[in-house]
Amino acid sequence: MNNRLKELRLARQWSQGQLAETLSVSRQTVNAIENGRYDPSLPLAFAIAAAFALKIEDIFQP
Amino acid sequence: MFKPKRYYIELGSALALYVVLLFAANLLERALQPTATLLIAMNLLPVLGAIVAAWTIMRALRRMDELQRRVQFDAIALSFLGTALITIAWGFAEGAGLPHLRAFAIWPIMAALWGIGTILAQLRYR
Repeated sequence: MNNRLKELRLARQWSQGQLAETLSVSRQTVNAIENGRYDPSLPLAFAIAAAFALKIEDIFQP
Repeated sequence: MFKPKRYYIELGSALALYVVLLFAANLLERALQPTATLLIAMNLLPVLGAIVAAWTIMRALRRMDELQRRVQFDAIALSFLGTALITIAWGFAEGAGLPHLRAFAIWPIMAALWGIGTILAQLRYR
């Protein structure tokens, strides 16, 4: 699944560690999602969308 | 949230307890030379340390985020299936003259495969 996580994170000048702390996950998890190696669960995708104040479909595309 | 440093300290402490209980059980057995139930109890004393270690691992798994759990699931699956294949193959090979595989050998096999599986799974999601 494609996503705009890295682009959105960089636009807000957040580090992977900062985003990971916000989401209560490890930095490796944020990195794996950004690199497309791991697709998050629906609850985590909702948490990511909430952190960026966007809709899920604005971040993740099939 | 899962903190690896804290986990290694807790697991290290549990394993240290296991080693202390192992030596203590040996010393007590030599000193007291117990029989029957007390002898079994003394031989099982180190298992208390192993139970604490198992509890530490379970707590760590519950604290992990979903990707870390996925990594552990992949690693434990590899360990479970790999140990099954090795012990079944060994069991058949015993019929051809291989020495009997002791129960104590199973855990080191599982642990080694779990470690290899963790490394492989982490590489997959890096």
